Amino acid sequence: MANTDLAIRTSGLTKTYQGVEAVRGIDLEVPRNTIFGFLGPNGAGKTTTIKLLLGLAKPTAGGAEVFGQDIGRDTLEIRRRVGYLAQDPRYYEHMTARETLRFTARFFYQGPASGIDRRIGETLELVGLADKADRPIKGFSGGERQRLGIAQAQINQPDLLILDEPAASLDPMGRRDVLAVMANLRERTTVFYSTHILEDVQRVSDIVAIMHLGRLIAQAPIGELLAGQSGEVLYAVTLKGDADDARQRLSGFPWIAGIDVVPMDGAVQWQVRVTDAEAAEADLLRAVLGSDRVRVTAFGRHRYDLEEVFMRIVEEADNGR
Amino acid sequence: MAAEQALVPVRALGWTAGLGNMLDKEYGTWFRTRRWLVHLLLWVGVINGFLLLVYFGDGPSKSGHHSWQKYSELIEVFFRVGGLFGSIGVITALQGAVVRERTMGTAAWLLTKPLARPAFVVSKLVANAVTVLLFIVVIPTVGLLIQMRLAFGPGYPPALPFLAAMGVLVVHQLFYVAFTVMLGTLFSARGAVSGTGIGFLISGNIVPNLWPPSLMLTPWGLTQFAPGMVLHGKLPFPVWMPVAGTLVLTAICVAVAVWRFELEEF
Repeated sequence: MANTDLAIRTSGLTKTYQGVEAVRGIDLEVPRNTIFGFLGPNGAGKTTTIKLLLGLAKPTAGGAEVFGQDIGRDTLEIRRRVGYLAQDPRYYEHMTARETLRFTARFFYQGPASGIDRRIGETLELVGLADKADRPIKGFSGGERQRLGIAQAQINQPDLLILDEPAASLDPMGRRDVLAVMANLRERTTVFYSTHILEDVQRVSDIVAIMHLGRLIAQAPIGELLAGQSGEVLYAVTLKGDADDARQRLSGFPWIAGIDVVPMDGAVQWQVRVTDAEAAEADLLRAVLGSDRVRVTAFGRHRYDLEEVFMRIVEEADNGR
Repeated sequence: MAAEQALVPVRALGWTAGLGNMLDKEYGTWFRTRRWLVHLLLWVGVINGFLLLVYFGDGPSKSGHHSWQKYSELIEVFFRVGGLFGSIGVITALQGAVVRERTMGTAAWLLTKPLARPAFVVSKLVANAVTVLLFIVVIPTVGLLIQMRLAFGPGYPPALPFLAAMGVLVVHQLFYVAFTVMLGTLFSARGAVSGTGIGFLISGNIVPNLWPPSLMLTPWGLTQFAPGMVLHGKLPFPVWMPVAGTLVLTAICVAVAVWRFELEEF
């Protein structure tokens, strides 16, 4: 992908803390105007990667660019175009939400004051804090702080919004609202967010990367990731009767990668891994039905959910370590 | 309706990026809260109140005139004790200026905005220096001047030597502002900052006995020399030496603070 199409590109990005590699040579590519889900268990290196991108920490090796600008040399220019929400955001407790946003906005804009106040008003409306705008932050709930965090992160209408676990401390309603805000921003910005809430990722992300033990172990469009791994597609066939003939017939097709048999109540489910989805669509069901001793009660392409994919990729990474 | 005015981006890059906004915020922590009032009352109360105690300590003068001894005692007490209390006040007031931001996470938040790290440190130095010098040096000193002139008459103490001595006190406290901010970049606990700061201050009563030239190179001598400037108008040695030495040390503290904060990882 051309550099100009990328919001973030890292190459061999590495960070070591006292001999422990928190991030191990990751090569990440985040296209512009996408919602990019950055997944991984706790301690996978997600937050460290974000801190490196923002200049809060310095890489031990490798490097990265944000909008083609070097994270070390051009950090101020990068931060001018970025909005960031920390995992555990901290603000000045004595300030109100409006004062916090005004303070934040003044890092980006010198005026006019009326324009800044208008931007603050719109942002407060967007995150649903307009009625609490003039209360000191110290009385805010976790959800309200998170909303304020999103507000301050996008006060400059950034080209790249980096959110570190934006929904982790929110109730289901709050999570839904945050995801809706992210979806609305897709048109004008790139959203790069880390999370371990897989359901959220599946709901809004375009592309997903999975970190584990400091390594980037997968990176793909969400559709591709959910469709299957290593170019394989899985079909589920539920059948009754004697299926030996059918199975023998299937083993003759070169695009069959394997069949796992899962016993079910009074039936059996074949999970057929294929390397050519088109061929399978054309011939798989026909081949099974070629035997009159078998009845097919269900047939379809298996849609993985992200949790399933995530667990499998992480396990494979662990086994291959 | 008038067309909506576009927002004008901040242009500053380099080490000053974000400095103006940070200075405004830092002054706000003093003047948009009651902190300024607390410090004003505290330091006027402590320093000028203490001088009143000294003044009235042995009862009113029968003749209505105060002796040269009382006059010099007040000047000595103000610059020596006021200087010591003031430095403890500077260290105490600023012990958390950097440490709190680092440990609370607000520094990390600020540094995700277009704020240069040197601007963060400089804003702490400038805003706090101006404010604590105002409350701990300038206002109590003006208070002393008024007290002295009411008690001893016009011309006592003479204005120019008195202002020069106040300048020396400013240099002295400025050093402790820079020193405390520097310690805030080096340590992660407020106790370590205040302990080291006060330890250095107190060692000014010990080290010069072991190595007298240290008085000429450090802030330790300044509060000892200042009363002589007011009382005698001249000193047995050039006062610029400890002033210059202290300014050099202050500059070193600033440089170390900026350097250390540049290396800080969050």
